Amino acid sequence: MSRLSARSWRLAAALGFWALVAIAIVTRGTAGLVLAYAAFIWLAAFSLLAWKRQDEFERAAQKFSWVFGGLFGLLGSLALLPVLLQPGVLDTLTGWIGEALRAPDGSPPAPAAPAFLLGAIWIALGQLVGFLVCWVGWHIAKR
Amino acid sequence: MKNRIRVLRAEKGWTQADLAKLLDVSRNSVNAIENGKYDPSLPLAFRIADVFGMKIEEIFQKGDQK
Repeated sequence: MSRLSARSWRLAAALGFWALVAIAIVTRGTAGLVLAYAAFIWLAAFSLLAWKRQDEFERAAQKFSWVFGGLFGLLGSLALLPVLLQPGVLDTLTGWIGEALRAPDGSPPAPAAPAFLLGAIWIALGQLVGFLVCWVGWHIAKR
Repeated sequence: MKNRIRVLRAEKGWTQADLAKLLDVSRNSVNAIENGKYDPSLPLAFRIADVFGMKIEEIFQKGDQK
């Protein structure tokens, strides 16, 4: 099992994470929160296993991409905040998140919760996009 | 840093995949090192030298890869 490639561990990390997140959104409530935590623990554990199986070239690619892609992704997500704050965009996105955060009995979340979560997702998404751009760029540059 | 890995590998009749397997790295790594796009760590440089039965300085030299 430990001889699985880094790519296999990464795939397992991503698939398991998104499966657990999807189940957490459907389940909701305390059980949903527990599943959301489990998703992040799963992601961390399998990412660590993937990291250990990677060779130094790929590790260098990921370090570079997290540092520079993460930084510019963060700055980019902040620079694009005015787009997010457009009423049509903001209301739609917070509406979706508000629906996902509804308790099992149908009661809505605290008023600020969807906007707060959207802000966190926005930053994380920006960093992830920045990482992917840098990661692809690194591999193209090193061919 | 310049290196003679491509030539040495050809002399052995190995593909990049063969060498990658011997070094327990990806073929992309071997390709990047051969092309001078990536300088290996000292431990990996020692492994490369071991695989070819040579000293590090016989494989790697100062300067840019042509």
